[in-house]
Amino acid sequence: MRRFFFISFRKFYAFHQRMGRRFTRSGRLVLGASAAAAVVGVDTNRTLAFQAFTLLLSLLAAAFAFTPFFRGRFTVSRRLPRFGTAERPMGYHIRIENRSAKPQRGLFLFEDMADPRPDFQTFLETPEPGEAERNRFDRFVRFYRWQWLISLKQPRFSSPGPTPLPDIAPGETVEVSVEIVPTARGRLRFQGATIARPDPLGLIYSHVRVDAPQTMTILPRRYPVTGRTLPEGRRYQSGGVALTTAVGESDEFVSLRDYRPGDSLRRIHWRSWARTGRPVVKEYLDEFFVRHALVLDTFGGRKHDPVFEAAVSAAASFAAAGGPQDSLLDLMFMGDEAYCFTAGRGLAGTDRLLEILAGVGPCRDKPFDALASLTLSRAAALSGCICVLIAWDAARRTFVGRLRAMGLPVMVYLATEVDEVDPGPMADRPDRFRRLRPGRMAADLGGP
Amino acid sequence: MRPPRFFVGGCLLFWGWQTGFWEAAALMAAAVESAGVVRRRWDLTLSDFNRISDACTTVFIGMVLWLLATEAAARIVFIAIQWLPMAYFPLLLVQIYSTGAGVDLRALSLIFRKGHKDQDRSVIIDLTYPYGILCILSAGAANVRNPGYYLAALLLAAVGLLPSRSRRFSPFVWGAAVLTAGAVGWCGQAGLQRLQGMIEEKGLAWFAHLQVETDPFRAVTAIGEVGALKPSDRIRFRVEGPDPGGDPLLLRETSYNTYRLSRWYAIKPRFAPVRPLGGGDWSLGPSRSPARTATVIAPLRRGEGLLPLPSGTFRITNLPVDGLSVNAYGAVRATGGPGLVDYTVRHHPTVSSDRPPDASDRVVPGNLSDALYGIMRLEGIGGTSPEEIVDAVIRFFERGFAYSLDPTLGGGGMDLADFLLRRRAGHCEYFATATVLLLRAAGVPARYAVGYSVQEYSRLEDCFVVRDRHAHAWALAWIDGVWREVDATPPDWSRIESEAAGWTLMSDLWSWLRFRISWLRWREEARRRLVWLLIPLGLVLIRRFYRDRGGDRRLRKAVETRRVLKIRPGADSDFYRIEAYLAQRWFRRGTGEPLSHWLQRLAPRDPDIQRVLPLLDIHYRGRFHGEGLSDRERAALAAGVDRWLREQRNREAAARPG
Repeated sequence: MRRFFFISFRKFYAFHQRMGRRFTRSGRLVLGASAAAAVVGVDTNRTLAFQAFTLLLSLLAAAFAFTPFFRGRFTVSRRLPRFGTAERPMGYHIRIENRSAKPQRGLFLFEDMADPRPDFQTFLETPEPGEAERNRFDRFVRFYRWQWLISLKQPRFSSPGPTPLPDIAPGETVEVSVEIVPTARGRLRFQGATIARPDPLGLIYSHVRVDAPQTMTILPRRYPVTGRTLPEGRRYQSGGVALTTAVGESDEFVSLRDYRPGDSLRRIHWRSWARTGRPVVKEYLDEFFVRHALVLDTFGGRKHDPVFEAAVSAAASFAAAGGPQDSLLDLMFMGDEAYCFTAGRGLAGTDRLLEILAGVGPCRDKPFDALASLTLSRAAALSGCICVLIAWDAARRTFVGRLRAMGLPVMVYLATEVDEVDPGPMADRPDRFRRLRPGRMAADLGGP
Repeated sequence: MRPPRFFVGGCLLFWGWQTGFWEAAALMAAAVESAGVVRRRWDLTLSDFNRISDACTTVFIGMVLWLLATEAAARIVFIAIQWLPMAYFPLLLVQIYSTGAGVDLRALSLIFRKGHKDQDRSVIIDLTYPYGILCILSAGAANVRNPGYYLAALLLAAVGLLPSRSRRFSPFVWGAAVLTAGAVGWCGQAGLQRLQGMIEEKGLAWFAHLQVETDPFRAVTAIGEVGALKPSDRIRFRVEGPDPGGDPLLLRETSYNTYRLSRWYAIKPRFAPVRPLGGGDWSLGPSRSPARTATVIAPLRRGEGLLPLPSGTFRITNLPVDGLSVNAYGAVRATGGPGLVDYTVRHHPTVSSDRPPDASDRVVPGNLSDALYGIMRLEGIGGTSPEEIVDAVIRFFERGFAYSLDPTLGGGGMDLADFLLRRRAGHCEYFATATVLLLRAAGVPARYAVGYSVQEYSRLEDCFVVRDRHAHAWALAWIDGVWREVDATPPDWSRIESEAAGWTLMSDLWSWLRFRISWLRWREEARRRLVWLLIPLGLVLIRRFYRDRGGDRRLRKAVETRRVLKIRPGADSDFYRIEAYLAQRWFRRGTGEPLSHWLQRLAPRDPDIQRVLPLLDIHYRGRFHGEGLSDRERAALAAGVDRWLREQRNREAAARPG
């Protein structure tokens, strides 16, 4: 039965898409009106609505007669930004070149996105947020789940319907701007574009399909982070010199540079200041510096699950917020294997971390201990650890307890929909144990 | 896409023209089109639209309930469709006079309201086009059969499609496409009508065939009813028009052609639909003059039934039913009518729409042939012309035959011979059956007809009343190409039955009272008068609806305001005073549009806007920075806003003439 619903939804979606591409808004209105007229006028003796039915149907037929006579050759390309952000409007430009010998007027453009229909397994295993609150029929049929899964892959276009194109002379290229709102993090795939020409009545489109495959990354949604008060003590980094090409606090002098707020007064080079008239500090090769870990719990979560997405968003928010000046941030999580990406001090930038987080998925086949081991093995070099967790079970509590036992300052963010949570090993530091509630992330991350 | 001006007004007038709601349609069209003159608009929220939509639905449900109480089930749907534009007009009106571009989908249906309650996104629907289409379809439900409907619909469709015209093509191509579609549509509707006629004909023939095969007695149950109903004094229907002093008028329900074992059958009683002329008029045959008229006021059980009609009826007027069909034996069946019909018939004795006679109309049952031919020989029935034969048969029954309600006469086929040869007394079924069979034996095609005799004039009601006991049977003889009535029952049959019935004053009074109530319920004019009573009722309902929900709304608003203040730091910023000023002066900020973007759009119109940008920075800091503004910053913002607004007002005052 579920497969039947799944196939039905797939077919209905394809049909709906075809209808949406074939009929203009007026055309859909006329089509709907003719269907209504057919119902009302089913008995030709009782009403005259059947006359409206034949009239509307004839209008559609007249419009349809024009569809075979559209020929045009176009080239389409997009100027996409490098990144977009989930649930944030994003603009880009589309260039359309008319390669035919005729001027083209009154055309429209449809963006052809990659097929957003989920596979059967995803349909089965990915419940829609709040699905448990739906009635039994909805839970059984899962139409809302289907709609939600489609919406994750399909960006919302700010202006409904196709984009109107300006007149294009032969050989000319025009550019139109489009604004979309990506609905979920990940890869956004464009396949091509469809140039549409309405018939004289404006009811039915004729199409010319143009391939223009392009991809862009949609970053997780990020929120302002305040109140993160982990100590910024510097730790000795074995091999730190090799790791970083930047500077630190070893005794080996490298160069002089201009003073920046936050530099220690002890490092001011007074003679240079006297010579140049502005404060100058000494720089040394780096072996001691601030290094924070950002541990993202991916175990047992489901992709697109609000709790998991809240955790990813929180991690992205921390990554984007950056740390103290010249600090390192290690992003650790478990995917197919254990991953640790370091950003800061000339290594990967924040955008790289965000790009990684855009693609992070849940880990279903490994225990939490794998991530705990990775983190604990690096704990000696860390100044502090931010743990973004999606559960608060014994394994996670033990992990946090062990980090703290090693003297490491730990900040725990627990993404959960549960109202009351026992802080466990964080009971003595309630200021470093926070709940993240999906839908209230801005308040939970931005609070004092 | 907005419809062209006067499109909705035109649709409304078209609807009023077709349905007869002229006055309402004119008022509604004036209210809609006044929007082009009246510049004032109201800023309505989703909850306002919800309430108005709910009120419309309540009114519509009230209308449907009213129809359920007053109309036949088959007609309710079509009348309700006609009333739809009236019921949902307030929703269209508030959309037109609101600042929004349409109505939120959530306002239209509780399902959408429930399904989208958690979503910030709203789907806005412009109701003008759907409402115009609704008017056109509702007008069609009035079923005024003339080309005006199609032509007006084509015109309105063309006007409605103007905004969507592709500028790629010339107006000439557009016009040609519309006209071509109009011509094709006209042919299509004619073809559709013909197709339905064919399907109905085939279907009815098929079902009729099945009936003869499976239930051969079904068509003759009326004969049994005649005998059973005779003693009843219940008033069946009323007739106006016949001369009170003239011969009784016979109203036929149907006729039969085959007699077997004291039962009459109608073989292949195929019903064919009658095409309506529009306005409740129906034509059954060619007109003849001078025609006689009669008005029948009869109940229709469940809105359908056989109509009692005089022989030679060629036109029925004022019969508001959805369908009329006629069979080869003169039975006219109405379907989809009100509970009470009040139709006028025009008839002429030389008109006959019944099928001409065939072999079955000449058959004499073998078991009765000896008796019939014996009587013919004995009584000298025969002659050179059918008229002479008819006269001879009537003379035969006038001699020595009497009308009797004695039940001992009932029995099988032999009883007819007994009636003819020995008892010579019986009720109208015996006289009618014997007349038919004698005429056939004499070579005149004949049929057996059943119906009512209109003979009792009521001074109380100033019309003829037809009771159950006036049910009658008579013969039809084929004379000069027309089926003529031959009633051989002794004329005193009604007096005998009347005496047998006894005192009827109280029952007649009761019947009259019921009839008046029924008249009030079903008559179109009475109902139209009562419809106006719905308006104050609707107003009271709406008033109550608003009053009941007003308290909740105020409370909810207060709660919402508190919540907003709690979750939106900086919502009380003084900068919003500048926003209000600029919105009033230029245009409003779009929904969800950042202030900076809006100010950027306004900047080319007003160079002073550049000076508010520092204030905007402070506002943004208070609005979006987690810690908000200090008291000092807040005071600075307020002072800056005051100063800017004061300067603007001074500038306006200086620019004002005089």
